[in-house]
Amino acid sequence: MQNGVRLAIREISEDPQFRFHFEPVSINPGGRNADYALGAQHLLVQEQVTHVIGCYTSSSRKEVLPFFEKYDGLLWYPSHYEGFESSDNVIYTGAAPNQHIVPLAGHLLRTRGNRAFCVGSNYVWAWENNRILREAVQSNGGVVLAERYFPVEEFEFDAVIAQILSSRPNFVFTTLIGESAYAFLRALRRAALAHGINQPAEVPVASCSLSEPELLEVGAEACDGHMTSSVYFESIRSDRNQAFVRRHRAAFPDTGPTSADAEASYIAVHLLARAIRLARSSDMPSVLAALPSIRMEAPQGEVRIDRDNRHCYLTPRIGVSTSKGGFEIIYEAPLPVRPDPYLVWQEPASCTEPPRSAGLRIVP
Amino acid sequence: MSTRIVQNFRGMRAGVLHTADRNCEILVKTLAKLGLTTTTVDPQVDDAVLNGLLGTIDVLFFDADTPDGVLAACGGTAPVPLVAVLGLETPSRLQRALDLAPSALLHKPLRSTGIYTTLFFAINEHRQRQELTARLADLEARHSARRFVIKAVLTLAARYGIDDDQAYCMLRRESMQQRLTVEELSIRLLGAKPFAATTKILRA
Repeated sequence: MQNGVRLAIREISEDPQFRFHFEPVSINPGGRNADYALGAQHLLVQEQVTHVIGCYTSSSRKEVLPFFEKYDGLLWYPSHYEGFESSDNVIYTGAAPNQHIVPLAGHLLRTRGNRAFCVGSNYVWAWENNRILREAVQSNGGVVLAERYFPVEEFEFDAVIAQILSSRPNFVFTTLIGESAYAFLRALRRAALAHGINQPAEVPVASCSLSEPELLEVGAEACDGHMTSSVYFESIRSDRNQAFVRRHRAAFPDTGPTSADAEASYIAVHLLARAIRLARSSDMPSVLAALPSIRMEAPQGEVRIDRDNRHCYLTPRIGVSTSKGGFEIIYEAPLPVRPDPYLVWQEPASCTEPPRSAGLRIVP
Repeated sequence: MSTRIVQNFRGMRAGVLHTADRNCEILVKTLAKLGLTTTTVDPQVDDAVLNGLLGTIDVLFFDADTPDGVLAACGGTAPVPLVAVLGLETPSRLQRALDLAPSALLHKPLRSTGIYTTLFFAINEHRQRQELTARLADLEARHSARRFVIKAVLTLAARYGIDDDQAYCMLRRESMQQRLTVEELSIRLLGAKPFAATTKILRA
């Protein structure tokens, strides 16, 4: 995330179209929720900062929100998340559930079948994504064989893997995060091999979060053949994205590939800069007023902020990971999809229809 | 509860009995995001306006800080789920809000956070409450018809020279064939004139 922000800040200061530059003030709450609250207060009160880019987990975001409301700050939240929030003090540049889990559920039902097995870290991201997947599976006559939750720091998956291999779901949906997810993928691959099972083909794993930098962490033995739903992959073939990847590599040669989080952070800074340029002011009301009229050609394609819910129009994609640590894109929405954080307008995922996307409808 | 949980409120209509201020604005804006249409009405409306409103909405948000308005006439039996929007926390105001039996609460100053939760609880709690009320009415009616069932069992036992278990079995079998409840059939058999509470049973 930080690299996406730093790259964008550098681009703004080098671009003569912008007659200003950003001076970042950064703090690191180190993943401790209490420090997020203190940090937010420090930035908004002592440092007099108006725009803050950051937070990854939902719990950290919920922790800082009251301070942004109290001190009139704007939080630019650059991560995909489970939705069901729409604060007037947040701009959400990551994917909402109708842009990640809903297209994935439809794709899995159409191409893999309707017997699912869910494995997740025990918190809201997993609970809510599993709820959405479960309803999609059940409304298509399918069954969720099991929904298993583990502590965030869990590395022991032998029992659940034995259960997966014996119950043979059409796919495994994982909402495990971080090291726990990598350990699970390695152990599943190892166990499948021992049983003579071609895991990617016979027991494929799908998620809404596994990204390029994480594939490297999983390691070459088990990083290929997994499906991820994301609005950004490093492998997107466009001049705009290739330029982004090139500049990212040049600026941070040691940090590895670009990812959805890096892109969402990058988008946040660029949208903010464009809003400030249009509004000729960086104060919150002016930026908010200018924002809905801004469209930007991002690495993933055109993006803009929805006037009503302040989430981002984004382009859902599904990728399958390769042994080289990248993704081959197997599905791409034809147009950016309007964010729907409360799934108010979303039709349930179906195994017969392609995911609904703006402007596209199959006519029988 | 057998009621299915409602989690999408698209297309529902909300009434907002609240002065047009910032709280009201936040409420209306957030409800629109959730797919509801809203009608805002000043708390000091007359009966006719409120009754007209109640007939056309699925949920009513009301300002609990205003003087007793026409809503008080509803007692605790409003036909739609109520949400009390509270600022004052004095017992007198809380008592008045409680009398209206709201299904959920919102606290001033309103923020968009929490409104989905409130709506979720209001709609679903109200549905569960309605289901309970219907079950309670049904049980009450059966309860007050109990003496007719006893009488019918005794009558059948005497008429056919059978014991009370056999008589009850007969009564039950016959009621199933006629698609009546045991209570309904008993009342008919006896040609009895039921009490008011049992007339509900004689819906046929």
